[in-house]
Amino acid sequence: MRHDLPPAAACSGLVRIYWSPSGEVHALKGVDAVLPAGRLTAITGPSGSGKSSLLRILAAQDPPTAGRAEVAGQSLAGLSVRGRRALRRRSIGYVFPRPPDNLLPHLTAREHLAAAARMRGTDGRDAADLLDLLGIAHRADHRPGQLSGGEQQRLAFAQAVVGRPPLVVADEPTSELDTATTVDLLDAVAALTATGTTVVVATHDPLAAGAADQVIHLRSGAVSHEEVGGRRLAVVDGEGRVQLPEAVLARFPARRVLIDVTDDGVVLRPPS
Amino acid sequence: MRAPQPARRLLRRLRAALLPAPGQALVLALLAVVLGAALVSAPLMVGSAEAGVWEEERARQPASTVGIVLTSSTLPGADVPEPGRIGRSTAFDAAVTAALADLGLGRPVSSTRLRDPLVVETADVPLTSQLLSVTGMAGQVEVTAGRMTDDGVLVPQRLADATGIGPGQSLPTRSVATGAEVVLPVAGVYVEPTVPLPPYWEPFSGLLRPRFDPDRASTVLPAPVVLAPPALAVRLAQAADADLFLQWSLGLGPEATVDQARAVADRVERLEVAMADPGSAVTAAVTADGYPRPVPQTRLPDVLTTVDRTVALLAPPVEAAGTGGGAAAVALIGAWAAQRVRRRGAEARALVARGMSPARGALSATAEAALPVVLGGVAGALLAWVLVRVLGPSADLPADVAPRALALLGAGVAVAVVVVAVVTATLLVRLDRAGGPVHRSRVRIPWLAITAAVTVVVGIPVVRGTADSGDVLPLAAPLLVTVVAAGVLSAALPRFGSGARGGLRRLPPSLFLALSRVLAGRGAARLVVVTTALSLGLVVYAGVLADSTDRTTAAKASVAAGADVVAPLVRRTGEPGPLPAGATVVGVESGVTVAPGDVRANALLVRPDELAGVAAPLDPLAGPPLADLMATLAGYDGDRVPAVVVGAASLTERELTVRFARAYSLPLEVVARVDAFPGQRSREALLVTDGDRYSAALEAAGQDPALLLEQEVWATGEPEQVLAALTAAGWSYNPDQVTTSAAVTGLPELRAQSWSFGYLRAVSLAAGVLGVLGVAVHALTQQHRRTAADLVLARMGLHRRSAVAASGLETGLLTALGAAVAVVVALPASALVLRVLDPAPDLPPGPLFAAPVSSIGALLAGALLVPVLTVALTGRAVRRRSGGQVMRDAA
Repeated sequence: MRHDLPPAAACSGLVRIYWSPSGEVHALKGVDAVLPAGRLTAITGPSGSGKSSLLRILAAQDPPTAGRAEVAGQSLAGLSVRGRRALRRRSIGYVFPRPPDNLLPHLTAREHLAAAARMRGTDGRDAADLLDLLGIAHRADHRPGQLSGGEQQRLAFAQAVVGRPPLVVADEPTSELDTATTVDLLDAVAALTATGTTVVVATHDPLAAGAADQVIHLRSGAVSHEEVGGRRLAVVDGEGRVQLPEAVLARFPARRVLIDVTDDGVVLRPPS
Repeated sequence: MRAPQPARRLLRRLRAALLPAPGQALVLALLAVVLGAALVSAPLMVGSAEAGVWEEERARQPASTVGIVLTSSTLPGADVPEPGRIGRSTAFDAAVTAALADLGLGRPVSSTRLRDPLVVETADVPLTSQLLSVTGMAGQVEVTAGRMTDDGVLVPQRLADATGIGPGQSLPTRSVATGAEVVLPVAGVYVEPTVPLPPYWEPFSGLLRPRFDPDRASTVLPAPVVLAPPALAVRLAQAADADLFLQWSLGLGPEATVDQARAVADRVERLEVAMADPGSAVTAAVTADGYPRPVPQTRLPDVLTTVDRTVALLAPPVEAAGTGGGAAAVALIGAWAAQRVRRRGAEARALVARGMSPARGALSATAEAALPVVLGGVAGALLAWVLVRVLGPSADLPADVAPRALALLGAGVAVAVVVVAVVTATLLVRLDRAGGPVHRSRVRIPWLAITAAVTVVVGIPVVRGTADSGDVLPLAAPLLVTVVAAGVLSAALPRFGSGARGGLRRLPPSLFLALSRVLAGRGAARLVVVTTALSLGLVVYAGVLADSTDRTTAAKASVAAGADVVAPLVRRTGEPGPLPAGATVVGVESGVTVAPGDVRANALLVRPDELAGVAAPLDPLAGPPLADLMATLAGYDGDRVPAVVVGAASLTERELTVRFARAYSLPLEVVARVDAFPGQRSREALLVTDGDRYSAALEAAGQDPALLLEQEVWATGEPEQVLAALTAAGWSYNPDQVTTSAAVTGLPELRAQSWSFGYLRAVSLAAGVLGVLGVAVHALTQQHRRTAADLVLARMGLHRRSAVAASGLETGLLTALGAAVAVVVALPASALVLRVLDPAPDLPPGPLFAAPVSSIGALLAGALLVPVLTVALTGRAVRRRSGGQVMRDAA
């Protein structure tokens, strides 16, 4: 894993508000996140926590209402529909939750990759390697109807990765797979990230989260915490705000805190 | 043998690009068939009508009148024969013949006839004979002795028998006018052509047709005609010191098409100009020798005017119907494009997520639509071509029809493909911009209320009878009323449903499911009822228009013509021969005044015992049976003249007085009143009286009926045979004034409306078929939506057959509702519109209603077919699905 590379995507203070007849819906309330290049990042959180909204913004399908978001070094703020479309085509791969939704029933695996390469404007020279890497080379001339669910989803990843976009976004890619198939798929994704591909997945699946290099946990439209290398990290935003875990928050019923800075770190105490 | 690998790969690529979803492509191709058929059939129908009118008019006209005839003579104004001028007629003939040939009209049949007959002495009485020369006559007569030569004449067998002269001998004659002796060298003997004359001899029917001799009270043969070669005829005319009548005739071939007829008419116009040119040989001859300038005489322009008038009246409604059908098909193709995006929503979302632009998506949809649209359009065009040729007015289509039809087909296909592209691009743009959760607009347009308001506005003039036949909007009233009625009925379904909920539970499962779904009256069910009622209502409406127009046309023809053939007689003093079978003489007195009220009227003086068997039968809606009326007329035993009053609301008195100028005044008694009667040629009042009683009353008033009354012969049968029989029996009539029922039926207004509504019926039947198919496809779509619910029901114990039967029953009930509205509402509403669609208001009776039995039969058959088709389609879908997949998809 290289640490000298710029992140594949990053966002800070990201806000997304939807307007509905019943009023405004604040889906994201200032999300800060960095997606390191060549790593698998999982976004988790309960339903309604803002996973899909964040994912849609990272996939350049939806503009942020406020805040900053960058994908492959390009800011999404103020980007036109046409600009977002071009960014998607050039720099982002996308995988839907249901395997059949990612594929066209009349094309073979090889033809899927060729079509994806044409859309991305590349020659598709890496298609064969990708099929091989994802373990479906022997299925190259099969159509989706002839593939298992896991194979279909691997093909969907291969299709998303053709042309090596800086970021691959997957929305609950394991939600329709059994455990064994999920493990196989995650192995395949790990193989992809090992070749430098950045993958971000939204998931409820502990297996998928466990396989990720970094887990961003959302709660009520904000980042609750991150897990990196098995350690749970609270997030400090650009304004200095820290979102405490619920168990810690319970120790501050007055919502006021004394901060002591020591040589070992920073200590938070309730005021006496 | 399998195709080589690259070829197979190419085929697969082409298939992936052009035909990725064959089922959807098939539906699109069917829509394109309708599009192609609707667009192409309109110009084909107009062309077929043009050719059809031409053929019918051509068949009604004697061949000689549609051809071209030019006449002249060697007789100048001074009326003094001059041998040199007669001799130079050969050059004059050549000049006229050359003028015709130069314009591409072909070589005419030239004929010369001696102005004055020649007298031939026989053993009994002197015989007068005519000298005639016709080019090409050698092959047109049967020579029984000798042969046709350039220096001898052919005499008829009758003359040879009377004179005992044969081939090689000379026949001495003298001119009736000049007394000059003329010796005819006889080369042969021929058999005189008999009636009906061959077309070649038709222009000379005056010389060849037997005629009735009132003195002998029998038919007599005409004067024998001596046939001479052209050069010899001129020499004999010089010898007789008698002038020649010259004639050039050009027949139009029996197979001549309307295009060829137009070309000939155009050349005839140029011929007049060419022969009037000061530098032309014809003008030179006319100027030098004083020949009357030959002027083309033909009824061809009149016939072509009738053709053009009919086409001008027919083209707008036919083109409107064809364009409407095409527009409807394009709208359905647009709906197909929208449905394509929706059915393949996952694919569209995936491609949009990967950055596909709407333009690229539209391009892909266009490529996918191109093949089905082109193939379907061409198939539709071929179908239209076959149907118009088989069912249209004529199988021969004018040459200019094909380019117009192809241009329309091309435009239609292009528009269809563009519509697919635009609809796809629009939906992809919306998909791309949707962003997050999409909320449907809460604003609902009250379509039913709006349509009802429009219907009221459009329908008021129709109900009040104040709509004008030129207005287009009232024509939509029946369809609007049908839509509103169907909308109201379907909106009321949930109310019925809430009341019947308890009773439904006792029904078998399939019937319970079907009725519950129908009575729920959801949007889809309402849409099915309304669209079915609309499409089937169109079938009923078009059927009413077509059948009613045919009935009205037949009634108008009966009333306006009077009989199959009506021949106005020339006033004559001599008594003609007996009437042919199936004929009667009708007296006509125009412009009489009827008191009280001083109403202007016409009078028909009929023979009650003969008329009922001769006059055209009256439509029951136009009046009572003729036989009853005539029996009433004949059975009158009063001392006045009995009369039937026709179409005069103001003549309410029983006893009337009829006056004609100051000539006479007669007492009438009304024995019956009717709205229409055969022979009623205008909206003026008509008095039908007993001819014998009327004549007797006239004589009693000191008037001579023969001097006062016009007379007509009314007859049944084919016009040619009737007229030939009349001529043979010595009845003189003016051929130009002969009326036939076919001629009335062929009036441009009547024929154009009849054909255009027939075409509309064909288009509406296609719409009905589409409607039926649409309902079946809708049922299938519903079945797809309900797969999860059906599976749950199946796991609760509902048999698969019951589920399928419920689907069929539901669709059948919805279709039956639509069909019922179509029949119950559209039928009477269409009858109201008929009142503003009188193609010939001057001809009684007014529009008559005819129930479209065949259309209603087709409609019922279609309504029955829908549930059967639904059961077949949904049964297949149900058999194919897997339970696990259904539940996964539902998740």
